[in-house]
Amino acid sequence: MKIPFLTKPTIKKVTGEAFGTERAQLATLVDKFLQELPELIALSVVEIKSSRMLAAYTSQVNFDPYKLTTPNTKVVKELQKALTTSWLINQEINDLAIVLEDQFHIIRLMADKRRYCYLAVRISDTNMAIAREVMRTLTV
Amino acid sequence: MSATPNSTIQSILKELPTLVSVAVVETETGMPLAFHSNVADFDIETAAAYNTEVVKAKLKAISALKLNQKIQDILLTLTDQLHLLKLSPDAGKFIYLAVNAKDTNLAMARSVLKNYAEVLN
Repeated sequence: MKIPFLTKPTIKKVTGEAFGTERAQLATLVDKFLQELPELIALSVVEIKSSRMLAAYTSQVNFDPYKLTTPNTKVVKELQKALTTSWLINQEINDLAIVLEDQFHIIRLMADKRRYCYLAVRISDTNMAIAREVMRTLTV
Repeated sequence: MSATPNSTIQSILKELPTLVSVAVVETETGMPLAFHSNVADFDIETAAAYNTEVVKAKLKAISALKLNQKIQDILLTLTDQLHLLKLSPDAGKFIYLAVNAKDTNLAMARSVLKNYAEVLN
C-alpha cells in the first residue's frame, strides 16, 4: 500500500550563492549525499577564501548552516596556517570531525582545496566511519 | 581522582610511547600547561595557539546554533598523522594529542584521551 505522505520524498531546497555549472554540480552533490545519508541534518559547501556559502541544505529549521560559515571557515584557515609550521610540513588535511553528545560534524576540503564541505549527522543515524567514507568518496 | 597536567602527559606517554606530541592547554588563554614531543622541531606555542582557535571557533559554532551540547572530541586526520583534541569536563583545559596514523588508530587514541580528560583539572 502506498501512503502518499509517507512515501513522498521531502523536497528541500538547496540554497547558496553558487551559480551556473557550479550550482548544478553542487546540487548533484547534495543529492548524492542525501541518497547515501538520507537522515543527515545539514550539508554545506563554502569557499574558504571569502567564506561565501556556495550551497547549503538543512533538514531542520533550527539548524541554520549560514550561522556556521564564519566559525567553520575560521577553523579551516587556522588549520591551514598550522600546517605551515616546520614539523607539520608535508601534511595535508584529510578531514576534521567534531563529536558532540548526539551528533557529529565533519569538515573536509574539496579536491580543489578552494572549498570545503561540511556535514552534520546524528550519531544514532549513522556511524562516523560511514559518514567519513561517504565524505571521502563524494568530495572528489 | 584528579590529575595534574604534568602527570596526565606522563601517563599518556606511557600508554602511547610512539606519539608525535601531546600537550595540555588552557582554553581561555591558549597557553600550554605541560607538553611532550618526540619531534625535534615541534613548536608548542604555535601548536597550542592554533588548536585553541579551533576549539574556540567550534564552541562559537555550537552556541550560534544553540545546540546545548558539549564537544566530546575534535579529530583531525592529516596525510599520515592524527590530531585529537579533548576538552576537560568544565572545558577549561584541553588535551592535544598528535600520533602517527601507522602506529595508533583513531579509536585507540580516542579512548586513551577519554580516560585522561575526565580526571584532568
